[in-house]
Amino acid sequence: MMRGAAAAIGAAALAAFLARSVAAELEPDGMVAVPAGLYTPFLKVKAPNEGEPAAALARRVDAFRLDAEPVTKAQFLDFVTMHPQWRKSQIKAVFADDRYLKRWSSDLELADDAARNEPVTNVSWFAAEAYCKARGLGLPTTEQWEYALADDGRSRDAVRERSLEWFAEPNPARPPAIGGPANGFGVRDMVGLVWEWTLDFDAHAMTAESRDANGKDSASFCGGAAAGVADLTDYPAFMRYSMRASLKAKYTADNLGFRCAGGAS
Amino acid sequence: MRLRIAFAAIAAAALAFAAAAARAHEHMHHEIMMEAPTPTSASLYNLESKWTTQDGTNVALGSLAGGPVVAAMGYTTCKDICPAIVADMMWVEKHLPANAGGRVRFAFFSFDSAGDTPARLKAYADEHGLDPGHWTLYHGDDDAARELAAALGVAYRPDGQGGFDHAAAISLLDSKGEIVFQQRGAQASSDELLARLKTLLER
Repeated sequence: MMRGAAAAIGAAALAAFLARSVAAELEPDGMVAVPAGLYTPFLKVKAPNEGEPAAALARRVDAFRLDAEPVTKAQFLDFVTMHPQWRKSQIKAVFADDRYLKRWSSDLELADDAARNEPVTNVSWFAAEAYCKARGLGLPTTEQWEYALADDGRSRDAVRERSLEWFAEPNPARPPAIGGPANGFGVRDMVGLVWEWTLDFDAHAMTAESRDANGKDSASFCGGAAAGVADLTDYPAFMRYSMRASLKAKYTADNLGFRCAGGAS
Repeated sequence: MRLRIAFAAIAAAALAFAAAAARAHEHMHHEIMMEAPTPTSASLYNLESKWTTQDGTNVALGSLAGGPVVAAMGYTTCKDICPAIVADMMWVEKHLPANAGGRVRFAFFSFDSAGDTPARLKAYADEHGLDPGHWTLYHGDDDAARELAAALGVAYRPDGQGGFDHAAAISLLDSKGEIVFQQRGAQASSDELLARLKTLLER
């Protein structure tokens, strides 16, 4: 009898465990399904000719799929093997600066075997987009990326803590290998290894740059202006938004990688 | 082979109508233009995005190769900065030197893939008196707009009300499609852009 009850409790626990792990199940292509939900954008935007900034309202984000981990050098090597125009000797100057794949030994050779599991870096927005498109995917929007990081509020403190540790560390010449802990959505390594490209990385450059205190729109930008942030204490979010705003699509850097996203399956 | 048959069919049909024939000729002319020499490494004409002009012609960016281009992005229902961008471009057009001939193209690319149909762009060009001899307005899909905006460094995002928040920039391209100068901000002086354009025309 006792044994039956224990087995029942065990079965219930197992069922609960399974239900949870199913929610964050890794798909065969290394992607996770991120469910739809509400998300409060970090930056508030004021519509033109509007006196008061819109409150930081939660917005609905549709379900989408996201790579569980940043794209690795091994994966990017497969891509350039198939698509010669993205090899470092072939890359057009309009698509990447001269640090593109800087640390690779040659077109089809990584620095060493350990590099295979490192996030690919020194890739431009164009190269990242081309890689994702070759998989029938695209880069995540900034909103999708931030929503995946926000993890429905579950990882708030862990993200801030890990971010601050990461900012305090000197930039390594090579990023650490992937394989960090998964958040509630099953997404890994969003903070602590590399910065990541988003589809609309410069979408907030406008708000970051236009600082007209009179609420009069700068002639450089059409439309909404900066109107504060949702959470003044979120220093890591300030860092993420200003890092993205500082980029140009052909820039590459030692600590800038990416992951891909797609529609809900 | 199938393409050739299709062209033959178009050509046959076109023979019946003089006006249609003229359009088919223009279309074939563009097909030839698209096979321009391989773009230089820094040329925007490496972008593979496809666009449709206000006349409904499908073109690649490389169709602009061969002369200087004054290019900007925006959308026609924009009441804020875009009219100023177009006004700045018209100012440059008005001050073109006599030796410019028809060599300079004024190109306006829309990021509003849904609203700015070729017909809408045509109406916009007519409303603003944009001379089709100098101006081309381009409609593309979201990917095309995103890619070109990235290459031109024009930050933009949908404003959630059918419009876009976007940076104002006018880019000057040389005959190879390389960016030689960018004017940031509308209602700014276009003197430097015009001076650079004149230098290109003297080459």
